Amino acid sequence: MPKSKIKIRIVSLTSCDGCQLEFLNLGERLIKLLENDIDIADFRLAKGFSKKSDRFDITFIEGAPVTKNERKLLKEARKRTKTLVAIGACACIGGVTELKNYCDKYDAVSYVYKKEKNYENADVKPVKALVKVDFELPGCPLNREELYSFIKANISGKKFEIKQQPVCVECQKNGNKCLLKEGIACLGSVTLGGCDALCLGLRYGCIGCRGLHKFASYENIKKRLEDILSPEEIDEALQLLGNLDDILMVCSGR
Amino acid sequence: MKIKINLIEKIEGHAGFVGKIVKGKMNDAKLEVHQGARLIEGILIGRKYDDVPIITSRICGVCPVAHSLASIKALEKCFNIEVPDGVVFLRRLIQLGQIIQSHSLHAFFFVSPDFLGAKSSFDIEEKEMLHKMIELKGFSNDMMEYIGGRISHPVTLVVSGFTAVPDKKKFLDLRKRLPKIKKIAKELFEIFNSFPYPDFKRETEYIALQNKHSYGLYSGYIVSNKGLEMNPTDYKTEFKEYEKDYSTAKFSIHGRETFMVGALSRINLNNEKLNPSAKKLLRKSCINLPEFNTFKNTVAQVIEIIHCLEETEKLLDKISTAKKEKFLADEVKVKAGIGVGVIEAPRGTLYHTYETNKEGRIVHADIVTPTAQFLANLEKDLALYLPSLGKISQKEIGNQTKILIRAYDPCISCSTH
Repeated sequence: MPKSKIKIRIVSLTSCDGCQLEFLNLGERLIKLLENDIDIADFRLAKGFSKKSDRFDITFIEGAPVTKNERKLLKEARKRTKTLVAIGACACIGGVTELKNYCDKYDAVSYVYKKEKNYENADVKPVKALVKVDFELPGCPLNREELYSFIKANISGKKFEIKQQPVCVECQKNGNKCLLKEGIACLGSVTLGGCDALCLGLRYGCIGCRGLHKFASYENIKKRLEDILSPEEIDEALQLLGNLDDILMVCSGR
Repeated sequence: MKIKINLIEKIEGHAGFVGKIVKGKMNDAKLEVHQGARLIEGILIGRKYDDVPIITSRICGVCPVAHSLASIKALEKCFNIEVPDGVVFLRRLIQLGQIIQSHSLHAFFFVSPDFLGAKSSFDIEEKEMLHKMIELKGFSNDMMEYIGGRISHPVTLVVSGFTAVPDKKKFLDLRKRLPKIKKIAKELFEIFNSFPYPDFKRETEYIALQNKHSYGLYSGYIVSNKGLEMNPTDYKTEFKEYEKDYSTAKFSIHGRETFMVGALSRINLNNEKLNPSAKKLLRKSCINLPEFNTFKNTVAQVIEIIHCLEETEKLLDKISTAKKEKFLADEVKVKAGIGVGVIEAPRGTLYHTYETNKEGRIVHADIVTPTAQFLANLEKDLALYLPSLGKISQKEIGNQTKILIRAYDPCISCSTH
């Protein structure tokens, strides 16, 4: 009897669609997966929608829940799936969407919209603040190879884990010269590895898009950056992809 | 008859449509944009200039390079930085990759299913065609990944240049694959050119960049088919953005009229400067200039893909002589200033304006995306097209609504930002 395909749904909240695109960027590999192992039954970007009564094995959530409708959609999506996976920085840690929380959001909204008054302007929270998240595929955008490995692991019933270590491990393994020593700011020491230190290899300091690793600490990053950035600038760097609130929670002992 | 679509699939971003046909007329076609407001222009205020391209590229995962380049060009004007030829060369190359990639995504994955009777491209019967579409998109993905570091949200693009340059082998790889990719593109053109696009037209103002030396994509002045000639820095006085209560995206107007930007606009205005193969295909295509049938925007995009592949070939052939060029970024001296960066994004003209203070922090930001410019024109087209369909089923009129909206290739995440 043929094995039944894993039923997948891809839901997009407020996002840039970049993580969804990575599914399409799997190219030929996606065609193979669709032939035998998976059925993407609900995918707004490239297909269409399923019935309200449909249930899924895995639902991928991209983006942060910014509007009331999105929060409702997210909670419904949780009920209709066995496994819920947050994909990308906006869904996992808030991403650039969360930058609104770090400025005066009332100033920001009236800067953008001069006339209309009824735009939703709630504080931005990542997906896990609203529903139980079974797995996270971090990054901005997510790492296509991790996505592929995750799907393959699910097909074969194996476990897929992202190793809890800083980006520094891969960066050093690749023989890169530490950018901090050149006076270039880098959040690699507190950021979760698994990206093969892509940005560092291109001489761009890590911006923390994969979120914090398990052992990250505010004291650590403040120490590493104290000769390069002012304390305010360090906070700004942590704000960029939505890491500041998370590292402050770690700092407060939660 | 009321037409209401909550969420349109196979477009970038979240939007719906509502409209009513009363006595053969539609007076209230509304493109309802539900996208959450990220307030990008607002959150840039007070931030350092080097955060800007990181944040703005993330406005959209489909056209991040366009935003990154427009931001960087604007900031370079703020700081009076003139970049060397090598930097312009690489930026043009990655921009070509961006256009090919975005047009491929739209034509192959958003539009083709409608005309091939499938729900998604992965379900089409013509598997050979699917493999070709994936190979062509894959080539443009590689262009962006080799130069920018990754497909969405480039890493190496910064103010004054690049943080790193690809190894020569990568350029040789692209050059080697080009002949096959061009052949595939021409084969796909034949298919897209043969789709039964509805016979519809509404005279429209087409606006785009124009350039004395080449098909205007990277720089130039703004022109239209109604005699507009404008320095891009004057866009705020020439075009007005306005808010609507049913949309988080703004809409644009030129004088008292709506207008269009994008591939069909560029082809209408700049077709004389297309590269030879693209020009030949335009002549034999279903596009008859001046072309006011916006359904043919997709054919215009496929012709642009071929133009961009020819342009890529020209640039790659110059690589060996470019080895003495300077590509890497310099140290940036910040100052107070104002700058406008303009570029043709895949979907049309994109404007970024920044004002910096003497610390290089942003005090003012304005971003006008192509989709925000053409949404009003799309509503006008819908209001004319849908009633013209006469007595058809609710389901079919819903389909036709989606097909016209898709033809425009709206990027809703961009339009809201």
